[in-house]
Amino acid sequence: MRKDEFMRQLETLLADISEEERREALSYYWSYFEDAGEENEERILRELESPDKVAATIKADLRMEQGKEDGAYADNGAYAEGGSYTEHGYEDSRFQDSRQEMEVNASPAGNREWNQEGRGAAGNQGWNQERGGAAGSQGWNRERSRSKSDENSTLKIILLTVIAVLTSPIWMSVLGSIIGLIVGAIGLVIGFIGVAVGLYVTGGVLFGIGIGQFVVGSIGAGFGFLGAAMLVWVVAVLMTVLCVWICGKGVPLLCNGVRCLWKKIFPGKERTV
Amino acid sequence: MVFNTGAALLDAIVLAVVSKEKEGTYGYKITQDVRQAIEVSESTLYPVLRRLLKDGCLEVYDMECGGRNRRYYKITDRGGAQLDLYRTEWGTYSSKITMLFSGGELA
Repeated sequence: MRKDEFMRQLETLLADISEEERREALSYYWSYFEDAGEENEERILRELESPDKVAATIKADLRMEQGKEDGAYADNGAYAEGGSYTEHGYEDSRFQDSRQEMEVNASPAGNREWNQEGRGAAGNQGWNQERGGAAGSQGWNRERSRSKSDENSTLKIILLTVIAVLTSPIWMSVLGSIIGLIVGAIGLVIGFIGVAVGLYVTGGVLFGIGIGQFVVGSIGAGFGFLGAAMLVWVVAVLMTVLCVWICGKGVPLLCNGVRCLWKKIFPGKERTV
Repeated sequence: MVFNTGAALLDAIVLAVVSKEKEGTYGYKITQDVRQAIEVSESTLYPVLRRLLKDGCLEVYDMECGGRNRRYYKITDRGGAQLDLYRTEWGTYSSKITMLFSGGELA
């Protein structure tokens, strides 16, 4: 994966955060790649692992902050003391074992019991609760919050079905046009191939007649037919080149066009699979 | 590395790295400098820088460099004060642990 592809995916993954945060993060990573230079691009892409991981890191931080703001009990400026940054990124062993439990505890009431480590020092009370507020978001090591998407998926399916039915006149015609275009293109290619084969055969026949003229007829007529055969073959070769070009370039181009169109109609949908 | 770096220590390291550059420094260079001391992944520092910025410990300005804008991070007075606090705390913390490890008595 190249950096452009990486950045494109990152942008898609950050679609659900605020415009400003997204712009900031994307510009940071763009600059990062540019400052690192092309010779380091490979290494950085490898170390960043995946757009999912980078997006998760950014979002985890945003949600932690959100949790801090929501919980008015956060009385000191410290944050995130429960976890730590390692060479593997942000880690917090308390949240890795049972994410389900974590989400139950995400309500402020649940935090009180759950907050055991911070009991001793009064100053620590604050951060443990803060972390509780943000606890629901700490599962990013597993890419996405599963239970959240479960809640929404039924609603999403219903909504999508309604939209699909309402907009059917539009996308049916678009789909029809696309299929028509593809079938048309295939027909065109087959036609071209047929013409090319026909020209080869015609050239062959003319060549044969030319040879025959050398034997039984006039030499002039022989040369005439041979010349005609050559001309026909040249046209046949041109047709062949055209066919190869269409198959090699035109077909992928068409596929790309369809894919782009698809992405425009359903932005970001491909990544949910 | 066997020892994990807590968020506060990471903040302190980043502040120290940024404070070394009077004119400010940029994301990629900060990461490389931090990596001379501890192992961090390339994606670790963006949230840290962002938060230090939000907390007013760092400030940014854009400067043209090689035909494009580069964002420079600079330490603020507040960040400097925070770094001093971290330095003091670290001094106490590390000397106690060093003492303990070397078998000496704690004061």
